[in-house]
Amino acid sequence: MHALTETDTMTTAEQSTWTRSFAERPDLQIGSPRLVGFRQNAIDRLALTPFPTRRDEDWRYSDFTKILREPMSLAAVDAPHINRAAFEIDDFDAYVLITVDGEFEPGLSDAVPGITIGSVDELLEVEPYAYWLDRTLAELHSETSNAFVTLNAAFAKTSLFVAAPKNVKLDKPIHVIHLATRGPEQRMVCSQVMAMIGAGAELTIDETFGTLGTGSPIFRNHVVRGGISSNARLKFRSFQAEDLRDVHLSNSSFDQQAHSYLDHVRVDIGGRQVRNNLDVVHKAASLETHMAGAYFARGTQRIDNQTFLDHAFPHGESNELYKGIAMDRAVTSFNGKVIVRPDAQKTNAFQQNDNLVIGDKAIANAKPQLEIFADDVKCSHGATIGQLDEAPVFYLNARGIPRAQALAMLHRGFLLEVLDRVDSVAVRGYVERLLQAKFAE
Amino acid sequence: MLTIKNLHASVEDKEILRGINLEVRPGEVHAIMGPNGSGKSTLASVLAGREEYVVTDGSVTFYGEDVLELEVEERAHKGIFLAFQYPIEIPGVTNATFLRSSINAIRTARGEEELNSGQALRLIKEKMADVEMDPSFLKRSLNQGFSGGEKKRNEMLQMTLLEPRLSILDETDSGLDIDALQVVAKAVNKLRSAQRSFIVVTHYQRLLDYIVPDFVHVLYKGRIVRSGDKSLALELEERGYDWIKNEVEAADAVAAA
Repeated sequence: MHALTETDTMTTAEQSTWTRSFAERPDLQIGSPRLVGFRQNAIDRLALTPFPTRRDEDWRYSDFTKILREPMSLAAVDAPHINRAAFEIDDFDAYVLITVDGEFEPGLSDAVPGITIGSVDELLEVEPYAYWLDRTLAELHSETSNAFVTLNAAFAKTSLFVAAPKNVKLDKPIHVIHLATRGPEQRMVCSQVMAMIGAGAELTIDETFGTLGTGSPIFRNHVVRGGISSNARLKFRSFQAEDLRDVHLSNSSFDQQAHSYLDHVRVDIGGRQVRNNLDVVHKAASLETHMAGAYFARGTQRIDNQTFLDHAFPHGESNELYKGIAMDRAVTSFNGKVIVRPDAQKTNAFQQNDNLVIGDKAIANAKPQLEIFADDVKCSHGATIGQLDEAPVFYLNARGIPRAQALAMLHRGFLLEVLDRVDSVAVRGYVERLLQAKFAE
Repeated sequence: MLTIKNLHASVEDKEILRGINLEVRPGEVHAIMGPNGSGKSTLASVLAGREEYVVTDGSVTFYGEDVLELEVEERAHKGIFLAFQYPIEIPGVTNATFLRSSINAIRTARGEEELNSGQALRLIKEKMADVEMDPSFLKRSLNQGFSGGEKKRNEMLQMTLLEPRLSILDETDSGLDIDALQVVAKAVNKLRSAQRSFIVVTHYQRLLDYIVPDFVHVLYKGRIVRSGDKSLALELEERGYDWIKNEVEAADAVAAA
């Protein structure tokens, strides 16, 4: 127990503002009594849960204390008229689901055949979802190490719930568009996606983010929880290209059962300050996990990715590749932890983090961590921070492509490599256009 | 078209080219042969503008213009093409994007209008058939995971698409089986015309069975020590390089004495 410092006092003061904001939201008291109880539990815990500071090893490169001192509203606002098409990905044949300010909007969303889509509120006490949802929410709401997650648990309203029943294979991806309405003051928008993939089911979920109206910045506080049953396959891809004045914070966690497959991809292009936590926990033997990430920070952007992979059972495979570019005065961080526990024999775990730093003022931090407690495993990890090789530049020059264009192509290519497993031409094109626009800034 | 005079070039202060003289006129095919380490690839690299090679003396002009003053991409714009001995693998950049960017860079430099995606794709697919490449290679990352033969076909595809005035093939035949060799020869022969010229750098005579050269030059210790017609290549095939080496060493010994 350490003495109460000035920062702690401040944090306590902030926490009482959150409690006040919560009291001013009677809408959070409506709905399933179980969920209302969870929310109350979370706001009560907030007083005991510290916001991370740079003194926490895992938050060394993400300082949110300044942002937390800025005015921050959690009040509900009215969303303006929504033109869904403006947020869709060109030529992407997908079922579109919309959330606005953290609430699932069935009226704006497509029906998805064979899949249960709804709000957590409606489905919390409905079988066969109740058990998984209740357990997942209970874990989420008892979070005591990260106050952002606790805040999300208290303020997320009717989160999106996607459930793929046993052996259902959806014919096209689900594209979730998360919209946030700008208000007169900076707003924190708490959103959640809960995905339950039944045994043998196969699903692809792509999520993107957008804002509505004009006004002050958005602080997106996003939570994803996924349960992947045995023999199920989930591809989950998150593309974050928020406005440069907005803040993006996400906390994702996936549990995998035997013989299941998870391919997680995330791309971070936008946001003034971005922090993503991704945890994958192996709950049984013989499963496969891919984690890919691309990040590109310019100007004064800060992008921080933290991943954790827990190999607890034998015959697990994991393959992680994160690649980033830091330019101008931007700071990027990657902190990837892989644990191979004593029982996880015959594990294959590979992790790689490659960074390009362009200019003298940009900074890339890389911290790969591999902790192996089993003896019959194949594991490797590596991290690189550097500049582009000249050989590819020469090759493109020799084909008539001028240096500036060659560099732009190679930088884009450097990041796009993480999309190698994304088969959708539309999605790849979408990311390519985002990158192209950002390089042209 | 191309005039090389007394060309000297070094890599890391080691002199590799020691006075090359060569005149290539429109429509001609010149084969450059020689033992390993004689400077063949260095000559190709200097012409393309590779940075590690420092020209210490001499001149290279292309239609009267000083090539050594041109940037690498400007040389390509003027119609000089180097088929790489070791094509570079570039993850994340698809072959299609690369080829279209290259075609359009050259067209823009020539004052022609750029091709849109559809036009470029049609042209590329048509030429791919010529070099017997499957269209599936368009979606793949440039040269990544291509076999040696596939990489060389891709080089020939680029040459076919860019229609250069001077093509330099840097040991394009190395490591190729007979089928791939014929694809290379077919690409060159199809492009041959009274205006286009080729410098074929090769260690073996084999490729010259299919691409019949007008001139054969033997490079040894950074100089052209012998020039002749295609029969010189056959003689080298039969007798190896040692007799030429011995002749040169003997002449050098006389000069030194």
